[in-house]
Amino acid sequence: MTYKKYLPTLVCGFGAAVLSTVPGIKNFSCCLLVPTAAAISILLDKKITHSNEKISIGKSLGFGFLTGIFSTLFITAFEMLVTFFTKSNDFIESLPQTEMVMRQWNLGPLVDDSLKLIKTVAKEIEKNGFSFIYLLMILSSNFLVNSIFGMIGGALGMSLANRKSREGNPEL
Amino acid sequence: MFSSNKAKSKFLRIIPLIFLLAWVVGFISPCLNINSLNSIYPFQKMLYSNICHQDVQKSFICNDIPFLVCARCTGIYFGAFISAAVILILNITLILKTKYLYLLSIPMLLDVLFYSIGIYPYNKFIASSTGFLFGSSIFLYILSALEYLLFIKQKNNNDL
Repeated sequence: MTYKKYLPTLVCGFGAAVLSTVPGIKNFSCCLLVPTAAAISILLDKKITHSNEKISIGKSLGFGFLTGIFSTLFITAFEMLVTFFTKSNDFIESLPQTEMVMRQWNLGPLVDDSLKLIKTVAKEIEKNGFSFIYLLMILSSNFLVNSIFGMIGGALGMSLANRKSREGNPEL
Repeated sequence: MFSSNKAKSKFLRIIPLIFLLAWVVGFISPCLNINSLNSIYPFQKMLYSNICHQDVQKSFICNDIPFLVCARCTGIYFGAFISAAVILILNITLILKTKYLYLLSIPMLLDVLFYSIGIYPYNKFIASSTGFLFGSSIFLYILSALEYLLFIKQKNNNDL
């Protein structure tokens, strides 16, 4: 089955999403969670297939991208679920600080429009635990960041796996 | 063939430099006071929150406004950016061995460990400098692996 080929990306993407919801983990991992997951997915695939062939750039970037996509979907789902039950999140908690910073810039109507939008989102979340604009915002930002960082992790996984193979078999 | 590879290699080095420049400008933009970027500050904050805890106490502050990422992440991205710029300007082929990647990652891991167990309090400059080492080493490691696979390996195969 073709889908089994991408199982490591699904597993690692899910793992990264679960870890990203654990309080405190982000303090340690910073930007390393998704790249590490992508690198592990490459190494996992190599273990599953028992392959000694060197991993191509296309495959590594593809695996990284897929890990990023899966982690984006799971992270967004977990975030929306937690927001739905708690009716609060980091976005709402940091709203006063965001407003304070934006007021400092004296941008005029620009800041008012921007703040109006985010206050509407905050109100919707506090009332219903859900906001479609917020969903779009986190989905797009997660997609943008995780797909890029996933590909970086994929490239890292490829270089690690290929060098391991090369050290084991210098002819490769 | 060689000149074509040389152009490709240059292209491979310019692209990450542009991306890294955009990324670095993105997280220091509140400090640069660029009106068009400041108006999307909430979205920017959310974008960078995916990759950093954004703890104000652990971030560099400029004009009373914290960077959008912590000191360690600032170091990591600056490290990668400076490495990308230096390697493009010097135009050298660098193959970073795995052991050097591990070696250059150790200071950052030790810093995380030491401040977490309370040996010393969080220090922005230690965090950013160890992050800088890690960021530059990981960038050089990935770039050298890509260049090896795309150009050196290909050249060896052609020579055979």
